[in-house]
Amino acid sequence: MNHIIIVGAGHAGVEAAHFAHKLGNKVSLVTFNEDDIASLPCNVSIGGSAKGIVVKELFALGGIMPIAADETQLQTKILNKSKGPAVQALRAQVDKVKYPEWIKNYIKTSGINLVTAEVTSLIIENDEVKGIQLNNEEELLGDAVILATGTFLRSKTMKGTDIKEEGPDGKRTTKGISEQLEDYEIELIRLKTGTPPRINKDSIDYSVLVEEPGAEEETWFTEDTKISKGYQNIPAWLAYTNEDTHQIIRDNFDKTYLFSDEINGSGPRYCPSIEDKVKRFSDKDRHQIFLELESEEMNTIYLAGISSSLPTDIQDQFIKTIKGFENAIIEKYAYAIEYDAISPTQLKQTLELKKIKSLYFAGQVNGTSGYEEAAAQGAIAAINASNKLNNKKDFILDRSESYIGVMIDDITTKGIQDPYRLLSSRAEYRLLLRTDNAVKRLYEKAHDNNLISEERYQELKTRYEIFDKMKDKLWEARLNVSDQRFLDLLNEKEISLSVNSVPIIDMVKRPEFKINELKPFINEQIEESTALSDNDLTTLGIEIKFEGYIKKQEREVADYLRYQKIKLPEDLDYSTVPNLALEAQEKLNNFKPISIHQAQNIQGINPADIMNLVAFINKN
Amino acid sequence: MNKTIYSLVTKPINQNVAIIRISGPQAFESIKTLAPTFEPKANSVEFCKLQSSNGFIDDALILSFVSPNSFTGENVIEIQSHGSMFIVQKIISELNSFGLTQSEPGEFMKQAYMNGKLDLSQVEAINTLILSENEKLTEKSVDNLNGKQSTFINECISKLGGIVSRIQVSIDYPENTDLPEYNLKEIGKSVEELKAELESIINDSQRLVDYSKGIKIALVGIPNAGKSTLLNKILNEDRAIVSNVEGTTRDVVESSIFIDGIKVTLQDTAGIRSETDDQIEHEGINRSKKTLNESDINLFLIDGTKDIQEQRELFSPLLVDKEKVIEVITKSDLVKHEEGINISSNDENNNLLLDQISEFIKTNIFDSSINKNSLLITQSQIDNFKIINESLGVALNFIKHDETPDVVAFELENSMKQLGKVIGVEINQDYLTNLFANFCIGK
Repeated sequence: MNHIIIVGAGHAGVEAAHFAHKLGNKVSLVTFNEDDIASLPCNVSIGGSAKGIVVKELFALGGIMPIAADETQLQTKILNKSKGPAVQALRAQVDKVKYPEWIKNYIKTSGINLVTAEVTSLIIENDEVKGIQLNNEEELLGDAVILATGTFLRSKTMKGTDIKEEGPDGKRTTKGISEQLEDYEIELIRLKTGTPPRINKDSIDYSVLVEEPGAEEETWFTEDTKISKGYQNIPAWLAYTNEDTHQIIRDNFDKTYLFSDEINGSGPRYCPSIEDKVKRFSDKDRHQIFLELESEEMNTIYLAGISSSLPTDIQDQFIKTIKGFENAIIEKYAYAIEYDAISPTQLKQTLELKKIKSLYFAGQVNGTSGYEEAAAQGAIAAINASNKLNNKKDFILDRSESYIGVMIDDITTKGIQDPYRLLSSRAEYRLLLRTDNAVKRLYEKAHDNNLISEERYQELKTRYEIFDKMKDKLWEARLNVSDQRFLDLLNEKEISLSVNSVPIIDMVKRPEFKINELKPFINEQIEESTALSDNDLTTLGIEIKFEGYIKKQEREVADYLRYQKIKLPEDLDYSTVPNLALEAQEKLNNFKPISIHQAQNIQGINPADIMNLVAFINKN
Repeated sequence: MNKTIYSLVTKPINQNVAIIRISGPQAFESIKTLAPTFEPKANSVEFCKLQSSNGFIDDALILSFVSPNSFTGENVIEIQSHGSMFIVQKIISELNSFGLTQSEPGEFMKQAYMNGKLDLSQVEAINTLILSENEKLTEKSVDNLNGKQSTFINECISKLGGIVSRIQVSIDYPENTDLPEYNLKEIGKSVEELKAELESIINDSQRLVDYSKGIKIALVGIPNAGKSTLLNKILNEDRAIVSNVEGTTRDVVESSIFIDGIKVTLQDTAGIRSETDDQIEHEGINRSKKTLNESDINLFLIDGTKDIQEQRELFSPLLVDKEKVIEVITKSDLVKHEEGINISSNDENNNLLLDQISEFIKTNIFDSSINKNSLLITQSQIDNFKIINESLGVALNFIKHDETPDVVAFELENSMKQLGKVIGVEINQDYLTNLFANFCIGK
């Protein structure tokens, strides 16, 4: 049996362990401390715009995150409901205590070997990883190693001028791996992120805040899976900073890392601290703060929107200026953290390091931010490590079929300058990559790679066969005004028809109708036992409504896949390709892209270089 | 290693001066034996004696440009020698023996494009500039070479980018209530304005491109109104005659001349009598109609010795588009009329008439809108703009039908990408997400 070692038990490590184990490998999950397993050091939510679709994709692949999120949710929302079906996504507020507990329990009962120790170095022979060296002088040998060390490599935390060499939440940091990677000339980059203060839930005056409830209807990441707990829907609240808050922050700019020479990591562009916001958007007279209860078992409230690295006394001062927070007690101060990540263009799309065989990287160590991004990479790294050890094909999700593919393609091809966050805007094929069709998109690939059971696969296959049949039938079916139910619906919408009967399809395409309103008419088309679920009905509605559009996008995908299919040999010396710009030769020789598509997206490679490259490949 | 290429850039005929251009990393090295005294210096001209192993070749001026400050972005040498092809051959054989290769058509430009010296819009401009036989198109090409088109397109891209990022940022940060509100109907208005602007650019550019191939003037009038006389007279003037197409008397006969740098083709039409049963003449009438229809100017010759009003009525059904008609009254030596343009075969020259035509072209054909709006200089650019306009139309339709912001933003993003293609710049997802820096977002 192959042995896969996973270093780090955060969201990437846990997902990696889950998949490696599921695929029949011996798995060792190494962590400093059992309490670190799947911890939620920052926000207490899983999902969000684009990220929620990633969690759905993980569900399609048989991941653990979606189940854990559903099992421990406190509130769940459908985001972007009014902005269109293509960009809707789920976000669950989860319990900071119960979520890690649930995962820890799963790991401990799964047969995964949990090792609590510090990894001091990797054992590398002839550019191939053989195992890890532990701080207790022990060696752990394995066939592949996945590094999912998060923000723990050479980390520093900052609260004002109080700078400490430590990991998140005052935990240990480690530097052995960083130094060793540098010895192997692996390019490391410094990144930075931050977290907001937590305040005592009983020290807030809720009467002056705006209550923000979750979704009325039950919404889950998983489907057809038995979730043991009932649906919860606790509220969140909204508060705002004001000019007084901003003045205090402005007066203390000099006490933040913004002006410190000691800290030079790149912070997340799309997730700036409150001092960044006050500085860059000086015209805004307020910034919003989302209040979320961290756990039913804790008395702390997470303040989304005001991550900070100001000194603790300044945090005390500015928090009290906020309406409703006059008597607020900070239970945990905000801090920023700086850490080592590897420049992810050094990775193959399987997340294996190009330079060192069998060494994989997943999660925040690859320069991404977010629990969901991390978990998805854990899955990809583990499936590929396992496939390689078992002589199976690489498991690569394309950017035209999943958000996970968009992320991996982006980071391994274009690289990163600041912590990478998935955004729906990053997906050029986003009309195809929706939350409603995540399972439909990925179940075949999941099955091909033994990620879902045969039983589940057959079930899905039948389900989508019915779906297709239904879609075909709808093209012929008509609605008649002599049908009182239809007439009522028309009257309600104030639509008058000039004919007595219309194709159902035409009604589905009208913006006035939601597919759910036509559900009774649609379900009549097939036998009752095979009626579509609400989710699949939504998919059907979208596929009909945007048929022309989806087809156009599918053609674009086909076009792009043609470029994706032109593979570039790994040993190609680009200086022998005629007419390539010098810069292009150097970049391509460094990068070793796998396809024309990947070459196209390397920075500094221009269309003329690609033309010449295609010509060269075609000739040879 | 990039290739070093050379080419004789003047025509391969004996002339006063010949220019040979060398471009590439080995440009300076390649003329070491040819011009031993030469020292490459940025943007300099040096007088040198050229020689081969067989001795002296010629006196020449050598211009040198040091990479990246040259047209192609490479090291560039231009040798200006005397223009005998014999001398040119000698120089070229030296370059060949050094191992340089003769450039393929457009290869210097390709180097410039690859080195980022020119964008696609500018490459097209140079191409059009070289091939243009037309002063107007030449002007436009020069404008675009100076970046007029690129500037405009970049403005459009950033306009659309602003709209798309405003919609997208609220999709990517749905919980941020502080983001600027947007209103799809208002966005629709500005998209509509942009679409109208592109439409007039497309239409006027299409006119420019079409007219640049030449303007057609059809001569029409009763038999013996003086069409052939006028045609022959104009063509006998000392003007560049481009072509003469022979035909029977009843056929359309055509000839081309240049007026103000624009190629103008004059087409005679068969004379038309009021009534005829003649089969051949009937055919002639049909052909004349077609010619009149397809021409840009209908030059209506009225026989001044006959009833003017009657002739006007006779031709009224044929001269459908009154706006393109210029009336000329002939035989002014016989009968002088007060109205209109009067000409006669006895006139010393045709200046009066040609001035009229030139004036007509200036005001009615290459009018002010064509001057302002014809930003596109090739058919392929126009076709690209049509695709962009279609895409904007789709987005507008979505807005009109209250479709959701996701598809609206998506289609506008498509338009942006198409615009990028015209100037050869890839507008990718990073372009869009970079615009998010303009919004206050974060956790």
